[in-house]
Amino acid sequence: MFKPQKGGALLGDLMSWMTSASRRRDAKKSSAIDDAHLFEQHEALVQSSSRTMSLLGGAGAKATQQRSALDGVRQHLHRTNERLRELKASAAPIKDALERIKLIAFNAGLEGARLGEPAGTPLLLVGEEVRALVERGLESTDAYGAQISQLESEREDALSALEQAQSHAQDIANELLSAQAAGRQLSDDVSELGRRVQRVTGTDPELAKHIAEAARHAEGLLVALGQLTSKNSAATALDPLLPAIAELKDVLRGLTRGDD
Amino acid sequence: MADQPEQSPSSSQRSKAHGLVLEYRDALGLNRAFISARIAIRVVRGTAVTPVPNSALGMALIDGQVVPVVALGEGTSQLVLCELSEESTPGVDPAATKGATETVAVSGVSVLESGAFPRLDAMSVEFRGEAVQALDLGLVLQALE
Repeated sequence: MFKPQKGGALLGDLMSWMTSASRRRDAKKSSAIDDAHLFEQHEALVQSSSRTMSLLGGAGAKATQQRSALDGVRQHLHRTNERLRELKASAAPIKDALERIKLIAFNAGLEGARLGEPAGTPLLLVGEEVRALVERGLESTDAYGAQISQLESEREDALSALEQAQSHAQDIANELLSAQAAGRQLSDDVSELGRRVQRVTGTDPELAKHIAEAARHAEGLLVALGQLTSKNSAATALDPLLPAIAELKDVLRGLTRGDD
Repeated sequence: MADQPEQSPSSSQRSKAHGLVLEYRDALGLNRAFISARIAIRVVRGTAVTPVPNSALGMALIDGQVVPVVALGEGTSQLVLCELSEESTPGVDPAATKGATETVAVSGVSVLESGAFPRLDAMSVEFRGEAVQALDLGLVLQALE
């Protein structure tokens, strides 16, 4: 158990023990700390690989959504084409009716002309008025038809652009599939690397993780204690730490007995 | 083709000729012609015209009557139904029909307007600022028969 000592002496003991332990560790070809770092890096690699796979999966899902949306647009354009065809078809009977009315206006004018003036004048006037209105109606129908044709042309352009977008989306999907396959291969390789590291080092990854953690804490402790010892007032400042440091020393001695 | 009308007297001051102005396209190009209301009866459309073998004429069934058809042009669906008599005279104001008449249809034409038109002379009227010659249908028929 811990024997009360002067703080500076206890700290000196701990520092010298840690330094000698460090020397022993350095002397080994592949220390446990190095192994732990190796496992840590492997773990980071595993996580990066996993994150990459996750991102690729997300991108794949988005690409699928994009393709689905493009398919939706394509269907919409097909429906638009049907509507345009219906609109065009609906213009034909209007034009036909107007042509018939124009004929009636011609015949009314002809009848009025045959009756002569003044008896035929009302027929002439009505015929002329109706014919003028029909002409305007026919012009509007032609403009309507022209607009539908324009819409058809724009729809064709949109369809062409959509086909290009769909082709690009397909390329992206194929690239993502390749990337996912490469990612899976990377994962497998990383797993294999982990197994080999474990075989070569003979270290359990969990133990290595604890060692790495302990090493980090020890380094932090060394730095902090080093700062304390560099000050004159360290002796009194260390007092509250002494029980914990003594216990730590015992634990470390216990561990190193097995090591030696 | 149509000639430019004389400028005076003004259109409103001239006497009127009644009938219709039509347009047709033949080997010579686009033509316009006037048919008097004393000859033109009415305008019909969508009537099938059947060619008559060994003849330049066609025939059509209009109101249950088989009517000979004179093609002035092609590419339109309108027919102008006309009534001719042996006494029919050419010009914008032909003599009133008397005695036996023959119904003839004119095809390949588009009627542009019907009613009263300023008379330029005995053979032409003014239409949209241009002189339009009266169609001598009797002469056309003679040429085809």
